[in-house]
Amino acid sequence: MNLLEVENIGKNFGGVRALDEVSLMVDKAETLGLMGANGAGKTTLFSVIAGHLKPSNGIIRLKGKTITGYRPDKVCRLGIARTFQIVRPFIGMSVRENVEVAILFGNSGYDSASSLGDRAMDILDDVGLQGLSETFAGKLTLSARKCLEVARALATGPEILLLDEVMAGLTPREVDDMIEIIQRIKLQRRLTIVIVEHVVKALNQLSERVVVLHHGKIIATGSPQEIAQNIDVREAYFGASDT
Amino acid sequence: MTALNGILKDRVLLIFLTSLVLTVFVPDLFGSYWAIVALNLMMWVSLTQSWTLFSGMTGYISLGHVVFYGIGAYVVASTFKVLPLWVSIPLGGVVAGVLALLVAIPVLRVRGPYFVILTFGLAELVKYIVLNVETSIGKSSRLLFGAPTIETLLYIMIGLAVIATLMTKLVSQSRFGRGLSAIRDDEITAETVGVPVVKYKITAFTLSAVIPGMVGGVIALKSTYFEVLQVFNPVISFTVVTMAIIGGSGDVRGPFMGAAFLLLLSELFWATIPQIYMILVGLFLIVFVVFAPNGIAAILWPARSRDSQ
Ligand SMILES: Nc1ncnc2c1ncn2[C@@H]1O[C@H](COP(=O)(O)OP(=O)(O)OP(=O)(O)O)[C@@H](O)[C@H]1O
Ligand SMILES: [Mg+2]
Repeated sequence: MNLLEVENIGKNFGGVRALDEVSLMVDKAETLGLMGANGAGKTTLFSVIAGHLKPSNGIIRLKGKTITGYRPDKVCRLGIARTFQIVRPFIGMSVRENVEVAILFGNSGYDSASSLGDRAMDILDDVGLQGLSETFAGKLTLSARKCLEVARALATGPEILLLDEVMAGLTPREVDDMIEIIQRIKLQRRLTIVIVEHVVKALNQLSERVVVLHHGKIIATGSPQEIAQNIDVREAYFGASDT
Repeated sequence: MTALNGILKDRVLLIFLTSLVLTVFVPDLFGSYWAIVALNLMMWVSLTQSWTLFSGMTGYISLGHVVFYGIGAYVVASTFKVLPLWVSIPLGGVVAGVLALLVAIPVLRVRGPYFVILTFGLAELVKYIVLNVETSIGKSSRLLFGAPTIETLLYIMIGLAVIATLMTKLVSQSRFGRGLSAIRDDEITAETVGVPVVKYKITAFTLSAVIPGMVGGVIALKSTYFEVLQVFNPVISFTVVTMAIIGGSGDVRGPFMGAAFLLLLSELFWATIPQIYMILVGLFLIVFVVFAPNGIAAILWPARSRDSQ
């Protein structure tokens, strides 16, 4: 049984068909890359899975159980955590408090065995934010905010992590750091990851399999190497015969 | 248990509660005029404290708090001499809570200015419903003969102020309170990290209605007659919000400071030159919103206030 199944998901925004019969499976401990041009529907797919948007049609299953239409907090407590492409920290809280809220309410089953602050610091350590724990989230740089998105998602104790362009806007060095962070947390926690990224290098390094979305449809699936050579994908990206 | 321990260790809170309780001596020491002032102060502290429990914590600014007060007053007035007060006053709180629970689901769907307007409109709606019911049964106002003395009412009101303060404090220190602050900061993110936002908003809204329900009942007894337009007067809602803003809602002492400040202003000006009073209230409101959005409490005790950075 697949950990996460997306079956024939469609999503309309008025006349725009943002997702069109999207089906995909994600295995336990797999990292799936999701690519596609701007407006392809990647963020919309995450929002549907995480419960922020109701799909117009189709089914989402987690470990065989249908979770379509569940509210985001419930999806989170079932073990799916997402980050936001346009970061959304709790700006009135410190970095540590941001993470504490996620620990308290997420899927991790906070049991007060170790102190909340300590657990938050452990997670901040994992993403390299320990030095900024008492800084207000509203005052962070972009790269730190992206790290905080990851930390907050991680703090909910997920099985599946949906990462939406956590490297967008980062310098090449910061991208390398982020790749390393993701690789490390993935191994440590046996995470299953779906990652959206325009930075092709990052996608190739992290994913075992890549799915390409184009105008809301899946047009290709394969290993990063196969995708790199796929003619449809090239056309979709470079517009040889864009419709 | 941990919550109780927290309270016993919280010196600021204990001193604050003690000073509330000490107002029981006001009637004996200063006479009946000051007893009424103390009663008013405790009333506003209770109302504002209960308002911050929901609106302060979540950032959903309610302009309809008076509806719970009014409904509580209505319960006590309409059951006067039928039910003993120790039943009817708590019943006012329960009915207010139930009303909040019923309207919570539709009302809490909207945010920001829509929520503000909706709560205001809803309170007005309930006011006119009650007014029509009363008129149709031929009771435009009710006289409440044989209500308890001002001293007795003051003791009850002090109790309510203490309970309101404790409730707000307990909530703000709990996991529930953390969730509410998260909702205030960013509701979508809160939901994303597992905060059950719908449940939490409804719970907080309902809790915040119970105290004003009981306060309204006590105040109906104080004025010895019940008139719909008076107990559902929207100015009561505005005053509560003003007190919360001026006093600050991030610190338990904030609502007290706001209530005391406005009562002092009104003592000074209301009886003699009411226009000046209204102008000053408006001015102070603007000054605080612009320059000290976290109120007097944040100025006096900066470190403790929730939003100070
Ligand atoms: N809330 C919304 N209301 C209306 N249309 C929307 C909404 N969200 C997305 N869309 C539309 O749906 C389509 C898919 O958008 P989406 O954000 O999912 O793309 P994306 O693949 O994440 O793009 P990007 O790479 O720019 O992040 C776009 O045409 C977009 O304009
Ligand atoms: Mg996107």
